[in-house]
Amino acid sequence: MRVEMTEKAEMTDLTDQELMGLVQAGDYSPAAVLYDRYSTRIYNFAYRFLRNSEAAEDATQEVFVKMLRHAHQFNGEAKLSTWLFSITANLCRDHLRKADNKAKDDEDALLTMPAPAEHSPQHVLETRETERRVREALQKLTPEQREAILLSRYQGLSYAEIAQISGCSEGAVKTRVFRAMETLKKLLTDPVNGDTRCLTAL
Amino acid sequence: MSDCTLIREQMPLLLTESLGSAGREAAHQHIEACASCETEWSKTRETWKLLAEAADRPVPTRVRARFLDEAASMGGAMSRRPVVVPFTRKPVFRRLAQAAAIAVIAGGAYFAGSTRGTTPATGTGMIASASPAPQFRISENARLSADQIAPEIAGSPAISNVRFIDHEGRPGEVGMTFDLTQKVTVTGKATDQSLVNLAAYVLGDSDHPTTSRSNAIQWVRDTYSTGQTADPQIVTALSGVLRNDAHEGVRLKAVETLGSLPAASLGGAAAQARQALIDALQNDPNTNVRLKAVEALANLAAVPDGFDPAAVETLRKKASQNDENPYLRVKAAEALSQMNL
Repeated sequence: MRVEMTEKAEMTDLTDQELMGLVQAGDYSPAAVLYDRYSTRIYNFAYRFLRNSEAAEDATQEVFVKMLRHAHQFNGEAKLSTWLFSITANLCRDHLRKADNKAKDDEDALLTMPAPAEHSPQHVLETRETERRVREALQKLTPEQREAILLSRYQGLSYAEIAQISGCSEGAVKTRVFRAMETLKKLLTDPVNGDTRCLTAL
Repeated sequence: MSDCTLIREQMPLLLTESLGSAGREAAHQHIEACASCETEWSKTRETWKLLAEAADRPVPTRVRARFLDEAASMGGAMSRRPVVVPFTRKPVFRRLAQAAAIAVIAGGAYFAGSTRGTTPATGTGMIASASPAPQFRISENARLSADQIAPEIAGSPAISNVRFIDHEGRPGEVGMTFDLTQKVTVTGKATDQSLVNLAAYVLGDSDHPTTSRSNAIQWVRDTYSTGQTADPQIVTALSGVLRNDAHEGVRLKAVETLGSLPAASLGGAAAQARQALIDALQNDPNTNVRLKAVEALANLAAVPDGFDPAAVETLRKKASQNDENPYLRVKAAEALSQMNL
């Protein structure tokens, strides 16, 4: 056990490129470190994109399996995160393309999300209400706009990186983010839309 | 394009600090001088801030475990270079599996021949068929002699983990063992025992991705929810999913599907379904699953001489349980009132 922990500790010091070099050589021991490094970002991107926790779980697992299986395709020119988000975005687009997999509400997420103990019930309710409004607003965007805004706002990627992931020009990314923001502004800050709150199940 | 239009298009770039310093300064100067753009800028920033309030969700730990399991199995496969060797052409004592046309093996080898003279496929996970002479066996392990294998290799089957073995000491004979991934399509009536067995097996295999498990349950619901197709084996499989699946979304589908089954056609299995729902109502940690269990239990509570006492008692307890979700308690009370006890 000590040996394993030492090896893992050493692994965490390696860069993405170095870890991927090991994977490309057929050594999968960096799998856990790479997963721990990126899984939260990948999962949350997929979850916000698809609004379905089951599909997001499957996508997350699939992304990392593909990372191992197709490691030889990673040439190190782009950041590993960019490559992983490319795979994730492709999987999410494929998922939505299937007729029965339209982005769907996953209300149980609200009920099952743990609330930080230090916050008052009022604060927790308000936060959840905001989260609900944001999630609903994101679903009003086209998939292309949603992809662009998720990568820009939540992942902090540059327009050049988003263009690479989405397979379009930087100009197109700029337009998608602008249009997404226009829609979101109307839905989230317009008093008419902002006050349209509906009660969810108790 | 007016200045205002240009500046508004640049607002997202301002937020991400993607504008050059000159452009940024010019944009801010315009915003300070233009009341309309100042309002828009304020809304843009507020929207940007609100987006951040949708906090990240933790990744369920089961995803990591599943991925590492798969990585481990892939690593094993990588350590041995896959080799495909041609099979020696031998006289063929076979006939193609054709009468039932139950299997289409895309990119795989054909298994053929009558059962006479055939070494039966062995291994765990084997699914027995109701057919007296199954021509294609779905099994984890199969042991075949070379003359049972068609000499042609169709397409590019995925063969891995190839090992060469001595054939139990028989002089002049060799053996090889490998993993073969096949695409198999099985068609037939919903009541065909092989399809029922397959559906139950797929439901019970928690190694499948959650989406696949949910889709499997949906298919089972669409297929086995009528009086003509309801099957006790499906009830057993769904009850197992409800008790054991780690994902609440999958359990939710299982509980809904159990509730949709026609109680009158289930015979003794209805009691099994009710017990699984009672267990879920008492023990499942997810509120939505328990809520759906109330509805499902109400649907299945009827027995020939009234209502199942255990189901009624469980609903009563839930209706009066102080630390239970209030909405669930109301639903339990409603279910009881509709029974006109």
